[in-house]
Amino acid sequence: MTMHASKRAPWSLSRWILWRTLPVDEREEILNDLDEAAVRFGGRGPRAWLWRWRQTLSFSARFIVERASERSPHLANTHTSRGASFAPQKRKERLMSGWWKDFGFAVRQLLRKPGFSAVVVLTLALGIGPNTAIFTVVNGVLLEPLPYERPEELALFRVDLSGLERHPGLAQAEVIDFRAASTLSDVGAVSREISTSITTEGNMQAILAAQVTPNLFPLLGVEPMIGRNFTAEEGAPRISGEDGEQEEERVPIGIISYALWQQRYGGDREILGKTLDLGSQSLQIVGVMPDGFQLLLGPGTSLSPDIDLWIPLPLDPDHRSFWAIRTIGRLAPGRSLREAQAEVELIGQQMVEEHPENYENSGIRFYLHPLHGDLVQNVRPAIFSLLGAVGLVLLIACTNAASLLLASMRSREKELAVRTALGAGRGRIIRQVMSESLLLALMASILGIFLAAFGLETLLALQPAGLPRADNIRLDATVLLFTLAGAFVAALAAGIIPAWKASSPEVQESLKEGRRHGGSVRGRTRSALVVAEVAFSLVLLIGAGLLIRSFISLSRVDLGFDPEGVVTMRVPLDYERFNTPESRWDTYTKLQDRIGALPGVVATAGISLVPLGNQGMMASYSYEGSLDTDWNGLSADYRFVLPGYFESMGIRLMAGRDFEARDNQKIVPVAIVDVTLANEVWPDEDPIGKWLGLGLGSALEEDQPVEIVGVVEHSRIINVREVVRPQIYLPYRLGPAADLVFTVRSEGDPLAPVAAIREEAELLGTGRPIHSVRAMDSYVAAALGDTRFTLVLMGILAAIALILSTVGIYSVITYLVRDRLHETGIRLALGASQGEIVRMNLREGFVLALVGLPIGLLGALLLTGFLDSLLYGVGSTDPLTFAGIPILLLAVALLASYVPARRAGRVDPLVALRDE
Amino acid sequence: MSREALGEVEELVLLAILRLDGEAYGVPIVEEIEKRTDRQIARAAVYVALRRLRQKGLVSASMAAPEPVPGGRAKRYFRVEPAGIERLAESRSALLSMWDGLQPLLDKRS
Repeated sequence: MTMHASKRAPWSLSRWILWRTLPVDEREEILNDLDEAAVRFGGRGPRAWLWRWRQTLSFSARFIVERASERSPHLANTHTSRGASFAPQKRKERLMSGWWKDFGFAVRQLLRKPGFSAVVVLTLALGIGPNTAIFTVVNGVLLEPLPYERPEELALFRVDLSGLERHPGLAQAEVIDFRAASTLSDVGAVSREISTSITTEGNMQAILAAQVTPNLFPLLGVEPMIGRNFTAEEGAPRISGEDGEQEEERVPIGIISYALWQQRYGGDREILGKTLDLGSQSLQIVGVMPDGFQLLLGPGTSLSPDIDLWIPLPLDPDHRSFWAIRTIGRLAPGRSLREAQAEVELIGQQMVEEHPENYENSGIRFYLHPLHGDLVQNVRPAIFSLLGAVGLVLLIACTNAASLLLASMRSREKELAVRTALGAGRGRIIRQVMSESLLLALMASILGIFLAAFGLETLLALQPAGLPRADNIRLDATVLLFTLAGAFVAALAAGIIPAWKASSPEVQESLKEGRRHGGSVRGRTRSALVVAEVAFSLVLLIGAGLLIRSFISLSRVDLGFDPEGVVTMRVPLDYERFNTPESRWDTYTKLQDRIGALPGVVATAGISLVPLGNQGMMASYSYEGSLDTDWNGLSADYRFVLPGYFESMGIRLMAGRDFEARDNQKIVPVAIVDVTLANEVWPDEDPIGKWLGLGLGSALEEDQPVEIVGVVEHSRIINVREVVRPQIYLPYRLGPAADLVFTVRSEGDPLAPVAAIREEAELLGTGRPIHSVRAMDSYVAAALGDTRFTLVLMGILAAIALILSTVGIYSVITYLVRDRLHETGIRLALGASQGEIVRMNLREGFVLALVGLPIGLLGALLLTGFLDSLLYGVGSTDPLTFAGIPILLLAVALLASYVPARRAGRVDPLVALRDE
Repeated sequence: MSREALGEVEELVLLAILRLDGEAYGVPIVEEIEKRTDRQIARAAVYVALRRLRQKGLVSASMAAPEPVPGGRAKRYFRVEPAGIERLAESRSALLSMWDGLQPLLDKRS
């Protein structure tokens, strides 16, 4: 059969499939037509590739069905004239039925050796299952487009302030400027999440709200399911100055989420116009968002995907200094992100020039990040590493299956020789072996899908908190297609070498002579396969080893505080009722006293942000001697705390004193710094009594310096991984917000006093529910969670790899031992001891592993660099791991060879000599 | 032998061939249908329909000589046979008689 058409490169495999499935008399023209259509469709790259394959599958499927119905007799009368296609059809039919015959034969072959088939299927399933599972994650998180209209056009603005991390916020005036000046087809914005509470029928419930510009939902291509979106007027800023009357006229409105609608209003269709009681304010509901709508923004945006209430966000054209608005732009049709980026940067520069007072020395730069890419930026390295790992596992599984198939050919030598003698060509033999491996791979993929479905549950249970779109992860048609494609590749990979070897004329020749040279040929091939397996496994094991080391160093991090026994909770106050700093201080200290008096509570205090909550407040500082000069670029994390905070967290006070009530009764400019800052600024002096200059928008006046009254241990307050910015603690009174995080240390169960604390807060009349109650050690666990997630998966994959290669080494040595039985008999007869025989066979396994190691080490050196961002406290070429893991693998190889080697030593020389 | 009704795609293909008037081979047929109906059609469905029409004797095909340019190739051009035209006419009058008197329904909607 000629296949001249396949010479044209870009089609190759798909062309071959078409060539095989299209009717003989039409295929040439159809292929030509497809070529022409492909040219008109245009281009290269993945889109064109996809197009080709869609056409290929569509054509082959339709024509197979069409011709099947032509052939079946009860439809024959509708297709009377087969005309020109009749004769070639015959030949085609014969060929197709040839494949069927081979499949039938393969089924019988595999049924005859159920044990062997089961092992191969299981081996391949262990390779296919994890691939399916991880691909499901890749598909759900990375590949599937975001659920918005033409999501590839959406981009998130980020701001770079002279080298600090890219912050996802713009000032309100900047949003207006970008909307006006850029060619982006629209620019919309959303605030960070706001915790508030609603009261329905006397029940108070904490919810998350966010402000959006009226154009944001249309920009995303989403509209309320019931009711309407905000109008432009509703999103316009109030006229400042005499805002008194102006404000009265506007009724506050809001759009609620589907979840809130269902849960609080039972899906009431008459929802529009009802009021939502927010305590200090009530809103009129004008719309309900559709089920499942989420605004998915990337890390650092502090916007939960589960917002229950949307309210209009007015943009103030004079508001240019507080970077807090998350801004989304849509590229104009046909514009690339790069063009838009260049434009945004230019507009940014103009802004800086026009408003120098706002941007002085800020080094600000504006960036557009693709919305989807931005969302997944933190998880992409982990997911890709795992994808690489499952790919390796699949390779190992295929190698193993190839090795097993090769071994099975041994018992088939006679049969194959007979077939050849009866005139079966090389192609025929290859086809037969391939159909066996295809059948095995198909069965394995079914098993693999079950494994994946089961594995996915475990995987999602382990999911790190930072995995976006986790609810979008599911086994769907795309995944199943991927798995089938994977099985096909696996069948090819596992079958091609055995098929080639089995049909090799050399083997056939030697068979005719009735000798066994073929055995050693296949032995060599199998040895090479084992070497490859060892190398692949080593790469995986080293990867897992590095992650284990990271996990250990992460869990050993000195947090600087003792998380055990501590619970944290946010305690907001009704801002309308507690509208003076004094009243808030008063209420918080009262609450602190009452909580402190509860049974079991050892210590309690408050802080402005949850420790390890991945949030920070940062300020620049200066110190004596540098006070006259500019800010010298020093920055520190700062927090406002109630007296007793350090005690409640178990942070050691190293010098000076804690804050006291008197620091809070009026504005007293004092501070406590951590030991890092103290050592940095006054390495040889006592920091107590020294002064710091701070720039922060609090009760503190701009240049008023603060006096240092104490020094504490450095503690991790943003997350477990991130190390040292120096820290400055200030008395609550300097930043008297109506929202404070309480830290409560108690004996025994940290959550035990929570109910009593809620009661106390209610008795005090804080007017808002306590929320975000979490044990401190769960923050630590969550911080370890991301690493644990990757680690556990990588560990499982490495274990599978180790098991597979152990089985591989074992079966090859068994095979070699069997092959050498005759030789062993002679050696034993000539006086070799059992020990010598065992050692000889052991050496085989050892050598195979030894050859595989350097290849694997090289591979690991090349690949572990990709793990870099996942590692902690260990380099990607950690010598300990790179030395230790190969030793482990060698030991395993020896063990795997020992069992068959020992068996060889015990063989009866007479039996062995008789073996031919 | 009772005659099988024309399938929707078959009908579209027949009409497209007539419209293309002598220039009808696979690629332009698909394009014509997509352009006129303003929707995507599965390319393979068109080719299957062409095959069926040919087997039913409603269209005939002829190979044209390769174009005299580099890479020029032979194309199979299709022509509608009288039987095909007859079937199209039948189909049209059947549809029209089914529509008879239903015009107000359409007017109301638009």
